[in-house]
Amino acid sequence: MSLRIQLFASARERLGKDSVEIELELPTTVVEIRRSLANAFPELNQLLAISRIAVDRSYCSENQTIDNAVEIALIPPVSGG
Amino acid sequence: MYCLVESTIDTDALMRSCTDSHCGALVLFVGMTRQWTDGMETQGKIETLRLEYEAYREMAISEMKRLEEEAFARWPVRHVGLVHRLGRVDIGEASVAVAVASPHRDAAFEAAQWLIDELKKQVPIWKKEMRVGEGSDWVHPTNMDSAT
Repeated sequence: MSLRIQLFASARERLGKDSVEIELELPTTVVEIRRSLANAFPELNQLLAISRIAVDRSYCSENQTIDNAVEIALIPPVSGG
Repeated sequence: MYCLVESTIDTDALMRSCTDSHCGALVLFVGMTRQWTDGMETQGKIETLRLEYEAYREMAISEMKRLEEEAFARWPVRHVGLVHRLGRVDIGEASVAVAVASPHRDAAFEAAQWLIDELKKQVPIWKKEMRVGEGSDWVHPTNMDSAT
């Protein structure tokens, strides 16, 4: 199925949109989401390596399983404050 | 209390909302846009024109709530206030304010320090720096470069 990944800051600017869609069979993992993003958007590669993935508005581990359509976001290193 | 705002942070209102008659200490931290930064690569000063902040709003709010709850669990503090400004923040203007009130000062100092440190590491907010003569860049600090 199609998963929508929200983008922010330089990831958003680099791709020129605030979200992208990738095709993945559920259940999937954060590792698979990363791999799929890297394949579909090679221009994100360096940034992907240092970014975290948030699922349902929480940071999650690389092996976390995602088994339904949730809110997913790519979180480049943050710089608030 | 935690919120995102898009105009001047009212620190007086924040302080008023963060105290009561049991508190003998109120610590207020205000982070503001710095004009001059020492540049290691450039061997000189970098001049900032302004900053622009963007957030993943829903998650930023939920992370601020989590930090506030953790501060209450770790220190005997009675009030915590976290306010972050988004959009354009000019030189000398406040981008973030943290207020902590407690019966005695040690807890308020410690909790305020911890809150601003954690906010800078965990809350999904990003700044874009507009510099004189050098264009603009999103700031994405890594472990190698954590001086923001």
